[in-house]
Amino acid sequence: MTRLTLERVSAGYGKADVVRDIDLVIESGQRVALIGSNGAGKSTVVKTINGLVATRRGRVLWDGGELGRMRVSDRTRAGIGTVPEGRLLFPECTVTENLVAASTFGKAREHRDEGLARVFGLFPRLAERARQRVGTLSGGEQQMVAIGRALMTRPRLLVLDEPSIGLAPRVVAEIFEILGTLTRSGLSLLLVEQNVQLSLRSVDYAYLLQQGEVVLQGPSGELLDSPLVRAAYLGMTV
Amino acid sequence: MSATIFLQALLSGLTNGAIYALIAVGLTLVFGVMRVVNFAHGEFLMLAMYGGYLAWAHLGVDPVIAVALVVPVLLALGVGLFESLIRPAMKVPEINQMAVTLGLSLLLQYLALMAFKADNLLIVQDRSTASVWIGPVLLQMPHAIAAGAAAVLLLGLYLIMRKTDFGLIMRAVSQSHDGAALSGIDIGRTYRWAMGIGVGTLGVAGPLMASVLYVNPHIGTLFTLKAFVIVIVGGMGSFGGVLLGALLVGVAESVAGVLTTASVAAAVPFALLILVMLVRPEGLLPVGGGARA
Repeated sequence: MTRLTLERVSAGYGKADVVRDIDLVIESGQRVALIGSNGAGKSTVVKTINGLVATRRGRVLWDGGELGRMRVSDRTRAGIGTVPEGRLLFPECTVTENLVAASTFGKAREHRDEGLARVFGLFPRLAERARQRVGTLSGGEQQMVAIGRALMTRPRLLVLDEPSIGLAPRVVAEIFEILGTLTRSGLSLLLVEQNVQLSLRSVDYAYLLQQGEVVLQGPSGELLDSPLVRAAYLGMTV
Repeated sequence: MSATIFLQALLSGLTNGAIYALIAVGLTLVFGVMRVVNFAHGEFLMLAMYGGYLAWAHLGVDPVIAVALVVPVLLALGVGLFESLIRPAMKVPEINQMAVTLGLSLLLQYLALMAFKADNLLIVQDRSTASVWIGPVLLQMPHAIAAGAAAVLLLGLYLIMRKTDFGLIMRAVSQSHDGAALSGIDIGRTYRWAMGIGVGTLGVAGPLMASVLYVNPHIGTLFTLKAFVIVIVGGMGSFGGVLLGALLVGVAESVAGVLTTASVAAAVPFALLILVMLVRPEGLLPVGGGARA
């Protein structure tokens, strides 16, 4: 069973710890959200998982093995796909080139055509713009490319960092519908979002992060009803 | 200036420009992919020229054939440079990286001075004085061979960059290091190959240039400067920019040489650099407007 576990993970930048003693588990096929306000440390947690930020204390385990100092590219190859905040696409390359660039290794390369067909099937708009430079696409279309690129790596866990940020509600709805399709096929999901209501309605389990620490966790339905979440994030009085 | 003299200067400038492009393309590849400025680029050209000269002088190997011997050596030197100096230097501020490659440039010059003395050496063959007529203008055979090889290599590099996974990986890393790593691309391996190829291309230029120009331990400095001018005029990291910049510099030098004196012609590339920086600071074909190396 593929499982991601964070055990008492602390990480940060410079001398300061941004997140402290984070415990988090994502079971195979589970949909998990990490919610919290801007600056709570959500993106730092994502970066400790994909390796862009080193873990200072604690352990990140994947498939039972500790990731330790494993490089970013090796974590991707091991099945952790990331859709990063800001997308980090290759703006001068075409849509197809962005997707192909994420299938230059192992099984991803062997199954490249199948991967392209799958991504273009999920996002028909990208198929229409296959030869267009990514830098010329709309924000929503770029987000689709970023998700498609992560899917090309054949992930077993898809980590999305703020996928709805800056996008029109119609596009966000479209993207979340596709994420629903993906998770129904067995893909594990870690969704990091400021849009708390949308996140909690899309996942099974959630963690609430405040000032770098997990202050609440539980099934998403329970968090939706939590007075703390309702008051602080959903603008509702208890 | 008559039309024939102008055409002669133009042809000479274009052939020189093709050779300059061959030299500068490695510099722009390394900068584009790694964001490292290699001040020792010209010294590796100097080593390649010595390689070609020694193969001819001691083994009787034709410079065209010597390319096949010198390229693997230069490629290995590029990889060795990355592993020994650049990889550690990439963990420290950029100014330290510059100091490392600048120091290496001087070190290589003085090592060459110890090994080869300050003599000017040139490959002289039967074909050294041969020429071909192209319409009303004359092209010296060694220049024609060097420019032809440059054109073939540049076309090959362009096709590799555009049509292969290897080229796509290079372009991806040049546009987003983190994005490439998250795509499963091994960044360290890509850097190693970028430096290997960036220096390895000089293995083509060196032996052929040793039949055109005298080689001495300090010849590299001139070409480092010229390559920088070309890369900046064309647009840092831009493959198309290198071609345009190199041809412009080559033609401007050559035409200025006919209209004025040799010393004025030598200053023309730097005047062109200042002009372009004032009018179009991003370069003539910046990344995004042309194919990136």
